[in-house]
Amino acid sequence: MSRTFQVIDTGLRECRAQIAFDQALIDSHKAGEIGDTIRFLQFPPSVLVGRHQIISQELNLPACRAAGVGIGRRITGGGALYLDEGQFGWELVFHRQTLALGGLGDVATAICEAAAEGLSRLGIAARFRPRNDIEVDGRKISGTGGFFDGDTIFYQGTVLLDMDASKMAALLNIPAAKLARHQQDAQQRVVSLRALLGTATPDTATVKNTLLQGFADRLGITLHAEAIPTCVEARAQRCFDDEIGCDEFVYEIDDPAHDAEVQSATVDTPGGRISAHLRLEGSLQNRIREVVITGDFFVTPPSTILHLEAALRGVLLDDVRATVNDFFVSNPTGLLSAPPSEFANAILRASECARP
Amino acid sequence: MPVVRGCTLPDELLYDVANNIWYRDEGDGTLTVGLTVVATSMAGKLVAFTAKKVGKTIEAGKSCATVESGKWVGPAKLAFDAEIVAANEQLTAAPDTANSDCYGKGWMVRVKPADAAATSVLVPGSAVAEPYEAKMAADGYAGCAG
Repeated sequence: MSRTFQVIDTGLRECRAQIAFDQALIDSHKAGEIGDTIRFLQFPPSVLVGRHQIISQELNLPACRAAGVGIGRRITGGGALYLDEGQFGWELVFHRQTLALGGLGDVATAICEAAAEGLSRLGIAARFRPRNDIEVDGRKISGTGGFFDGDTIFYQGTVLLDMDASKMAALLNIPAAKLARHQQDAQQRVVSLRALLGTATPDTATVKNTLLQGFADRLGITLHAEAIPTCVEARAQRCFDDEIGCDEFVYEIDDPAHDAEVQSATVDTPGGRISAHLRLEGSLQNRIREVVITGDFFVTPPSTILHLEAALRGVLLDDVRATVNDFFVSNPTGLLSAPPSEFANAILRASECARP
Repeated sequence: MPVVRGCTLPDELLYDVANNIWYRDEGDGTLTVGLTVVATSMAGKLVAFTAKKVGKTIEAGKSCATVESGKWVGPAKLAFDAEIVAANEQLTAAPDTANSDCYGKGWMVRVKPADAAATSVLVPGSAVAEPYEAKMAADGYAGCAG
């Protein structure tokens, strides 16, 4: 199987148009109109929810409309994002036999490790953190997600060149945003290249090329730049007009009556106070969408807590105690001033605040 | 009941092997639709399920629902033009029902074909073992966990 990918760049487009192009890439690939492809893209100020998220629970919609940002729904899963020209997106669409990586988990691992390798060449310690984050010292620099349709695999991620945390805080209903609004917890859960490299931050083209080198070397593929295929543009317009550009799709999953607030709880232990700031998901609200853990406990290395938060994403409340316990068994700490059970207590107490 | 590489395929059902979908003829002009154990085994634990709206007509080859597991999203496609007449709200509430009971409580939608004869494209359970074995071999799929 040929391991050659064309590389295209759709530049800056309105958010729903970019997502329609995602679907068009997949459809064109399935139809045999295009070969394996890597695409770059950028967004004007926009908020995006994941495919199955309750939109009014994830976004501060009045604030989004007042700010005039684009509002869209991805075809991939995962959580809500704020994006602007300070970030870019990358995507791979390919036949599953091209890379012959096995199951979807193996695909995610291979692509994320390749992306991390590419970013590391910029002089940062980028690493893949399962299930699908790329992080530097526990702070996320790239989020990813995938879509599959038969033999066509689609995998996408972002790179944070720069970041406006205040915009995120104003527009998203996520724990980190709540903390930022209340000026709590100086340590951010995400990090940008600008924050890491300062004035040494390369330009966007250099970052893209370095990322491509990571994909080429780790995935064993060859790349060639191409113009945007006209067949994909035509499909993208139809996808936009028929579904993805429509409010019916974007607001398809909504429950305005549902409590959109981040729920918080605190436990006091001899080793310090532990606070959990929790967002649940699912119609039964029994699964962790995201949790942020703060407090004055001690743990070394400090990134342990960020990795714990990542490990808890998508976990059912019934599995929180076991997940927390297993995490600390698998991730020995130098110093931990409070027992693992107290972290679970804080999270479960916060979840009780969320339930009617 | 056919069992192919550890994957059970009830022989009273009809199958769209290529899309890993089962159908059950309800005898009233409608069919219940769900994911086979092959699909749920490959996907892993489902965390989200969203069906297209009741009343919507879906074209053959298009998605009647999307599922999500571990940050992967995929479509559940219909083999023929049909109207969605019911969606499983229990599956929306607890998507992992498709993992625990994919042929029973984990059904996704109920559909009414635009053309009753269109269901002839489906493979009956009594004859599904061979095409499913061929698909698994082509996909390099080892089989369902025991």
